Amino acid sequence: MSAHAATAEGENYLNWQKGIWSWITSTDHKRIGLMYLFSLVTFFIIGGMAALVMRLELAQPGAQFLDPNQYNVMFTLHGAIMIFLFIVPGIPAVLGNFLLPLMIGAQDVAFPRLNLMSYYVYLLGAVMALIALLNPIDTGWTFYAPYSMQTATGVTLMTAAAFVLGFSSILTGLNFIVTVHKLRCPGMTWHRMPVFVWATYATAVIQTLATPVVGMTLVLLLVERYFGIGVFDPKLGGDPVLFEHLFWFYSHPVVYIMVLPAFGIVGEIIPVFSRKPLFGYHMVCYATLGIAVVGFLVWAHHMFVAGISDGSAMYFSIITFGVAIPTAIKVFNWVSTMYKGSISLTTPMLYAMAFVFLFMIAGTTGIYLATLAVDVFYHDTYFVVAHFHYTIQGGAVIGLIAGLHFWFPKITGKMYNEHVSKVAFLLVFVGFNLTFLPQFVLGMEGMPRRYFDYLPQFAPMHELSTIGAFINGFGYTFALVNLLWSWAFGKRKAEKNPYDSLSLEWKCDSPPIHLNFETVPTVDDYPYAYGTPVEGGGH
Amino acid sequence: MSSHAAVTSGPPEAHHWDPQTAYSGAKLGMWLFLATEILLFGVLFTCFALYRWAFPAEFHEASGHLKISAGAINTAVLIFSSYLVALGVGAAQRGDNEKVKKMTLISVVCGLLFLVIKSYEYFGKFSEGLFPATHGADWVLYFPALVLGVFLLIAAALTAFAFAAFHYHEYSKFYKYLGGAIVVMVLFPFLVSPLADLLSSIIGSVATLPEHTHYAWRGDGLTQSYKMYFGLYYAMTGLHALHVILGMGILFWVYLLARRNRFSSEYFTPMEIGGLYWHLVDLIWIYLFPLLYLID
Ligand SMILES: [Cu+2]
Repeated sequence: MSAHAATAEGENYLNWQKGIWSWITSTDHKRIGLMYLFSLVTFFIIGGMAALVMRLELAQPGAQFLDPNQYNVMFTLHGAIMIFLFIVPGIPAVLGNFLLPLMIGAQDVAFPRLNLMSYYVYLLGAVMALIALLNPIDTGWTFYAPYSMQTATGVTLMTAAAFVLGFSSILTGLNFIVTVHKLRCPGMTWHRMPVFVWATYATAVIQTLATPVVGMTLVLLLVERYFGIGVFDPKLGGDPVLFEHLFWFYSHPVVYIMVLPAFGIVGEIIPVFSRKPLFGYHMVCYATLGIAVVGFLVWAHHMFVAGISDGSAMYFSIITFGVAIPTAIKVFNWVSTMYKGSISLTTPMLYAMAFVFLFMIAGTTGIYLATLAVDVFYHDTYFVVAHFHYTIQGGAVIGLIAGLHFWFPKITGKMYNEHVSKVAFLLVFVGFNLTFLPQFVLGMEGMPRRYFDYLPQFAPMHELSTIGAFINGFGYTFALVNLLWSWAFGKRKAEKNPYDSLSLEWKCDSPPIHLNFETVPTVDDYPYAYGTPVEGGGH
Repeated sequence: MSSHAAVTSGPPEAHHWDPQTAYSGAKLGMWLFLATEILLFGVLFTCFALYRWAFPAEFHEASGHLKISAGAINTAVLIFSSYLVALGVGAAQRGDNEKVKKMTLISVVCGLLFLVIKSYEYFGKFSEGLFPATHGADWVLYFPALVLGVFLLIAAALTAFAFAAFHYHEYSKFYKYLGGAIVVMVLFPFLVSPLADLLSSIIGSVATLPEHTHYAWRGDGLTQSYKMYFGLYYAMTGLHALHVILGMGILFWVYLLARRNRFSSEYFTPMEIGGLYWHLVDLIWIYLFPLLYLID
């Protein structure tokens, strides 16, 4: 460690250098995390607006104010922005960047400059994607061949953007893996790391190993578009299902890039507000890694109706059922942690509990879809839409918001308004369920997904869903405004450790100084030894 | 950049790493990056395997068009350069900057030789019509391909200069070189007007219906699986050639560091990770050569 002058009173990472230039050239992982945060929130708002426009159009049967093409463009805009620009970088880019070094007692990530570069590569990809989406595109976010090879819309630029964004994702993952391996402070053994670090690590492995595959696949799609060599073109002897295989080889694991870090966040929040040790800490850690590994083996469950052989369909179905095991282990761990705990219903805890509830629905409906015969009926219906949103919005987004509330005092040095945030939570929770529970019903009744129009019998459920979507959007807005307001004008300063947490990030100032810790911290236990006595021991 | 303006030498990121961790961390990072590269190529290998299995006779016949001698010479060139790079790593560990300079520079020249032989092969295929061409005029293909290669090389060299400047915290030079590299790449499409329509369709969102931009293969007698073979051949060797150029840039950066006597028995990380990268470039070719040229 290089010696550095003692930090002046009141100096922290937010104010130790001033001016916009000091931000956009900063290699401080905390500042980079915040830059990601503001970019992501911007894209979340744009993607959310597109969703609301779609829901408004779908509120009644028939055309309201969009024509079918504009509708296709809207759902591509919503899907592509939410996936590529918001939730894939998502929690790792924001909270991973901010917390990973703090939680393992390091001064920064392993390669701070590479980290800054990842951000700018991300920004470049985002600009390319936005230009492409304004062009616009009508393939959906999956770019299925052969349609994506034929459409005259801006698929070229969009796939190039996805490639660039993937590169950013790879560099971030690589950076985090080396950080966890090399920069843990004295005493921070693997079995003393917070579960959020485990989750970020597992995520980083997926980011690094899955992303190159989709990158190359998209390049091949471009080669196909312009030179017609026929790899994905059935007219030329190629196989469009091959594109789907390669695409889902990445795009199934990417779901875990989105949601594993949310598991980590929930694993941090629940023990603190239950004042109990995290139940089965080791199981949580290894279940996380297990999900990351098994996640690589199940991709073709997206293709049961795409014409794959019965044998491989059965294989992928069985392995997909297998994912439920490590996932269920985690749910039992969280619930058992709360059991007989001294629970305080703070806002982060409410979000965390909502996460467990919503994710259980997501997981069980996932079992339906993994079942071959059932999937034949459900595959192209709203059932899939609802399942997906329970996983990604109910899982990843709710997890991210839980984390943002939980670490808000650390990030900003202020406390947010607890009453307002609880109202916002209620709106989000009710709005979300009102949006997507009816979509399960729609799916079961046979409403096909991606359609612009529908039969009158589906109208009541669609109407409910639209109402829910607006309540949901209003809830998010409320939560966001509350946080921003509290940051800018809040009077209550945050203490170092407002929740009496045992994790390392709460041992540094709120907000932390530029190099995080005045002296190198040491650790002699895992961070969940709440209450007395610690059972199980072994840490 | 970071607060440590006072730190003017020493490896980058040193402010929170002890040298040993910095060394092993950089190596781990490079190994992970190599893993992503292998997965990148893995997609192409998978496609090749699938279609070779689907069209064995056509692929066999199409592969007969390749010049085994050219491929064999290129294999030898790359293996030889890998050997030199390995010697360079040893030299860097002993702090022998003179030898590092020699080894990296000769390796860069080997890379160049590889590219020259590869372009010679490409042009042979072009003139046989084994390429989807626009107007049938051969120079339309030769010229941009050559110019693109030269531009990429210049850009790679400028980037290497930029990284070396960055290494020494000479930020004004860093911006100059990086700006130069960007300008070179941006200028390229404008300077090469015959390429304008090809590039605008590749780069731009102005693409018209792709059917109209598909280029015709001139060999009328070619079956589709022939085209698939050569499509994959160009994709695989083209991507590999890009990696050769990238690797040359990295080795040139190492050369620039050695020129400032940067390496000592305490610090030799760039040579070692640059060497790792070059070995990967070599290794991929060692798989490509038998796969494309030799297998019956
Ligand atoms: Cu999946």
